[in-house]
Amino acid sequence: MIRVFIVDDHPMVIEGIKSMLLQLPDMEFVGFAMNAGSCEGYFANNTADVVLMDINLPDLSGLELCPRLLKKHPGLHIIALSNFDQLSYVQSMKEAGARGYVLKNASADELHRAISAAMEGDSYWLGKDNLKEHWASQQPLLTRREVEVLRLIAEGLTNNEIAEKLFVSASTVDSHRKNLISKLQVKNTAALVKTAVESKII
Amino acid sequence: MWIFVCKPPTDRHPYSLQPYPYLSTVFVLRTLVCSVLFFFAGLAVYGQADTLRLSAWPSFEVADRHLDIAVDSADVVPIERAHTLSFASPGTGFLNGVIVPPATGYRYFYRLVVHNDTPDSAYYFVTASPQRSFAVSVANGNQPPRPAALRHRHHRSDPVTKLADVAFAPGETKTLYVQLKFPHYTPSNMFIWLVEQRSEYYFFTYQIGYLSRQNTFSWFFCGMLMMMFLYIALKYVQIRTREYVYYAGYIFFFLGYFGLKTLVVSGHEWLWHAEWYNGFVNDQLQTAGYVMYFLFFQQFLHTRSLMPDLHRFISVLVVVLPIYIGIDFVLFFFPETTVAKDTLWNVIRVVLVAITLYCIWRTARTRSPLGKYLIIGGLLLAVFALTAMVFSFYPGLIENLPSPFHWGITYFQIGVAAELICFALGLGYKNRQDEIQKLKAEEELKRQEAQVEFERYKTMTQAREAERGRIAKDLHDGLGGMLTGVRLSLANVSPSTPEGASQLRRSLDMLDGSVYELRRIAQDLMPLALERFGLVSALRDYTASVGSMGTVRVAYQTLGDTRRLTADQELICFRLVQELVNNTLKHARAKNILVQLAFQSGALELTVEDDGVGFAPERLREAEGSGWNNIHSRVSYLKGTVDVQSRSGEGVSVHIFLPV
Repeated sequence: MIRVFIVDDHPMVIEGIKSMLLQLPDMEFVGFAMNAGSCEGYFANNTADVVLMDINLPDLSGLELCPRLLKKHPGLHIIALSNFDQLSYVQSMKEAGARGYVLKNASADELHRAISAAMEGDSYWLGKDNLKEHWASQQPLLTRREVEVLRLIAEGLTNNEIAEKLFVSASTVDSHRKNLISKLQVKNTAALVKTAVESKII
Repeated sequence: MWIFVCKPPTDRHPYSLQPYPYLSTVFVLRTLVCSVLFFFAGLAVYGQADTLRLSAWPSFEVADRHLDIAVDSADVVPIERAHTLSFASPGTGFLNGVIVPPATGYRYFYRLVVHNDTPDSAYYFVTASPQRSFAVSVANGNQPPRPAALRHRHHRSDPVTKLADVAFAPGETKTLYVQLKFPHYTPSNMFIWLVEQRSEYYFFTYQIGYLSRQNTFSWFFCGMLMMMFLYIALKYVQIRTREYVYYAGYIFFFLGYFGLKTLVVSGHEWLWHAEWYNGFVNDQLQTAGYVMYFLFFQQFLHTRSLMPDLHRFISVLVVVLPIYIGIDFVLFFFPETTVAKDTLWNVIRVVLVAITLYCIWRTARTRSPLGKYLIIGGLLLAVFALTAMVFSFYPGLIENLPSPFHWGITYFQIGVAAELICFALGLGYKNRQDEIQKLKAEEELKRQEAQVEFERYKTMTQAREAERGRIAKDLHDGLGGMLTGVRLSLANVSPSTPEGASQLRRSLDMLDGSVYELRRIAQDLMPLALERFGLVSALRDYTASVGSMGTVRVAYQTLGDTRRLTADQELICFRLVQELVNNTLKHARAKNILVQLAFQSGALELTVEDDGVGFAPERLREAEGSGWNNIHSRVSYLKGTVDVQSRSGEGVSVHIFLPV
């Protein structure tokens, strides 16, 4: 039996999750807390396998509570239980040490998969097994303005001339140039033009 | 390619002041051009007349003639009036005089041959004016005496001082040599008198001759004054500042003084015979000029605040001087007061010069930028006046210079012209300063208005955002929690019938839809992640959620070292991106959106690009009214700039530069 503890400030949610858990065969509901303080109080004397943790708590947020609990009880498996479906929350909870992230309106099946994954040393993130995929950084794209500036640089125009041509300030042109240098990962303007020509950007 | 550059409102207010640098220059140029024009006008009108007059005056071509002196009772005048009448009664005519040419090794002489054809002895003395220009010697014979033998007594500007006594026995003929020491120097005109001294109280005067010289430069000078006067008067009509009135008055009285003087020098007999001119007008024009000068000085330098003590003193002075002018005018009708009147004028003249110098000295000590025009003008006048004075005492220094520089008065006139031009420059400068002041005040007002507007916007925005945040939080935590709870409870219901099961499933799906919708609304109202994780993360969420709707692909990239900004800045940046992306979603029918965040030291650049239909120019102008206004006010709130680039059919690229 997997012992599950719930931290949520909403009695209805606790009730709902609890009854959902009770339907699952290998789950045991060991208790709940409605704020971070009483949760820590519970774990001072008791223990559990899995903590379903809400992010919005009245005293501490789940983002803070998670590492605090794990520091004292490294064996805990914490799964975030939240109404936020934004990746920044998912990412932050992951960084805080959580093993999974489940939305509150998830189905019993989903909840079960998340808990099982956590228990088996795996993780579960909003139904996706690999967050990386989602966060994958693309090849940097050049904006149209940057391409235009790049073309004018290649034509040998100075910052001031480009600025005059594009009706912007010279400092704006310079920042475009810096962005280009950082995007194409080159050292200077000459290399910038060379790379741009080689990769057929201009 | 059509490029439209949007500038935020801050750029529309020129906080960096742009004064009118050309104003002063224009002013001076106009004055100078007017002066030059009038030079030529003067030349055309008076230069001609002057030449005619001189050619009709064969002053030095008189042949050696013998004239008897006839005693006429009409020439008997009381001695008390001698001062004023010396000009007014020039005698019966010219005695014979002839210039002995310099080839003889001597200077210019009048040789006067006087014959006494009465049965009595006659006693005369010779006098001349101005006396420093003459030396007189009396001799019998035909050779002029050597210069060393000449008797010369210095009594300036007193025509009745004896230069030489001459006694004529009955029937005797004597030759008098009157040496003209400085033939080029004629302050106004020169007189030589032979005065009979019959008793202590009566004498007869005979004007022997006078010199008159043309001075075209004087006419030019008067022309310049007149033109300046007209110009300044017109300027007053335009600007309505009192110093222009005083300055015009100053020029007016100078003009009167120099104009009359020029007429006298040019040999207008009616004027140098006129009692009103010699006895009153000549002096009082100068006094009135001083009054105007002092009033101008007060007004121009704002002495009321700059030098209050001097201001009070001058205020008294400009009341006293007109009173003096009145007194002088009254005295003019009482010839017995002539000596007192002249003495008073001489004292006042010296005092006025002293006060003027004192004013210049005080001005110099204030180091006021306006003052330097007065100081330079005053000093130029002083230097040239002094030069003129030196030359009047030592005319030999300049007698060989070409006309008009052999005239001492020319130097004085140059000084006056220089002073007036300095004053004009000063007025121009002051006028410009006033314009700048006005402009500054307007700027300040505009800036304050902008500040008020800014504060209003800030308060409004903050209140709105706070409200949104509260609602979002309530929705999310309160309603969201409850809906979730309901869903969870429902999920635990085990329906007994298949219909019930499908009913339940539908209800659960609807609840899921509600929760999803609620999250979207809350997120739209206020991205709670923004406060927690910052702009970079919140925008990542936002772009991901827009992308997850499936209609467009949203690329999001950051450059540079990402960092947290102030809550205000982050929220505004978020709203900017939200607004721009919404615009694209609504209007652009784009397939791709690129959101880029480039952090630099001291600046953040937001770029939002799409490949949609783009803006036609009319569309953008249309859009200017609504959504773009929001963007502009947000950007100007952060003192940034917007650069919108669009071409119909090729999408929009918005680049926002924010100093953060």
